Amino acid sequence: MKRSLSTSSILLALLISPAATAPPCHAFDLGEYLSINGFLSQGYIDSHGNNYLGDSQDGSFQLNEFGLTLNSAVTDNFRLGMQLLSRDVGQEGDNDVLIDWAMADYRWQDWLGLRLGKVKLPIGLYNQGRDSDFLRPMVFLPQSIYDEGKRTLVVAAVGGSLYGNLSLGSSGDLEYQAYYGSVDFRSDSGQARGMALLAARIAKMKKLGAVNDLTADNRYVYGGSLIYTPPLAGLRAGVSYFAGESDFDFDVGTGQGEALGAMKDFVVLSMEYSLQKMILVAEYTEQTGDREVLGFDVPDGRSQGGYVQLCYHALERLGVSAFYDVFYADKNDHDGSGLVAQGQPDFLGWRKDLGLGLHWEITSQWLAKAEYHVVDGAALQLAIFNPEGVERYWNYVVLKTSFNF
Amino acid sequence: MPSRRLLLLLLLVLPWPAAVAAADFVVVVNKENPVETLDRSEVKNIFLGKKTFWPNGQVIDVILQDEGEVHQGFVLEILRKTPAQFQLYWKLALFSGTGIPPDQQPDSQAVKAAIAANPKMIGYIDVQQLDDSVKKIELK
Repeated sequence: MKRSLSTSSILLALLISPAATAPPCHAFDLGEYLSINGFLSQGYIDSHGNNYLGDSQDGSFQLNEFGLTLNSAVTDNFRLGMQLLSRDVGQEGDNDVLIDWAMADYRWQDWLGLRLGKVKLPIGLYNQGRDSDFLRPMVFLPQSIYDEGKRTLVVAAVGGSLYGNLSLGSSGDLEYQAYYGSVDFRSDSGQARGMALLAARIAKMKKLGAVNDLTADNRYVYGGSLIYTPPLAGLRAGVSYFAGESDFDFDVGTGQGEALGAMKDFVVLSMEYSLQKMILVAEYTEQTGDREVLGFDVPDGRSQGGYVQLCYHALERLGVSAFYDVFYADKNDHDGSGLVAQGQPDFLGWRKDLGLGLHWEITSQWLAKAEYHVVDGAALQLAIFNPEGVERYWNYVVLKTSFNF
Repeated sequence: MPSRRLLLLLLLVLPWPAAVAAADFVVVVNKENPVETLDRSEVKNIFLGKKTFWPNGQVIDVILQDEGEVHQGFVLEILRKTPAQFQLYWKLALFSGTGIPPDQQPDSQAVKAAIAANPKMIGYIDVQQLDDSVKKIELK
């Protein structure tokens, strides 16, 4: 915590320095072939009832990202690009500098392009921009779809993607992306920590001893998205699909253990309607988990979730936002009775988040947000941050500011 | 919650910038460009990076204007976005690795000069600034 507070102080100092109050400017453009952009974000989270993402009940500045983006247009339709990203979000990230994406992008025709390297994955309408705080009205994207605990698996993959835009004439146009690749897991990722927690519980049940040194190895991820833009101004609708499978190895007692974790048929249906002063978004999702740990077939069901979000710009640069976000761990067990039968609290089976927020575009490059969330339920691996037990009703406040160039 | 931390973040308050009025515009290309007319939906897709090739196979070079009356009029009427929404659209492309925002020029004179020197370029200028250095595109 001491280290992260120090980093946070530096970031905060940068954000309130004279550079951040300078008139709007553009990227550092180093001629026709290289441009440099970037961003800095620093937040503060304080929760009551449960810890969220880290030790948030004491108040935490472990909520920051900074990125540096390089782009080089080698020819008219061939470019090279890379983004370095450092983030500290509670227990994840630790401000290590990682390659967020890095690719060669060749666009052959409007309807066909190819990206090779580490590519961001199009899940829902907002997954590809999830690490850039200033791209959205609220600090956290709705967790039913953009779960921070699953971020490592779904954010980017080393492999490739095909993309393009299909003109439908007077009926609008259709954008598509399709990808295949694999993901680098970190030991502090939500998936690795969630699997370690599950493996420890099953090892205890089987009296096998303690679980240590868990390593994760993703076999593959694949999927794609379609986004339809009809002639009606401001409207777009989309559907995306994702699947992935990973192996986990760990020490258990004096021996070795292994586990398999798969996310199957992760489908998101999306709709966004944007007017000059208002943006209305609704997304719906279902996904199936399939885990086998130490030979035990975990009874994962098909989860279900979705949200409605409204953002209204009361003034040109001042917006108010609200969302209601619901997630059920098992779409056929909304009241959690199956969990009760296993001796667990029913409220681990859902998460219902009502969020209200303000965002202030101080300049075109500098944004500040404040928001309050009231949550019922403790699904989505909240137990990771609350080893002493979870509460059903909890809330959190988030303040965050971002600068980009 | 420590009040000192809150105070730091509340210091981010600044006055509001003034809104600008929209102005009439025309879409223009280089005089050597054989294209005479474009659908409004085609122009929209060009400036959103969805349509990137001219019919002759050349890549389209897009040029924008800095924020002002002409830019506001163009993005509101053709792209059906506010200037802030349009900027956000390209920032998403930039920081997710799916595209590079078009270059910008400060005013209509600079846009005309850039287009006159580049047969692949398209832009928009104040209708009052139209002259024979560039070619007006008829919008359908």
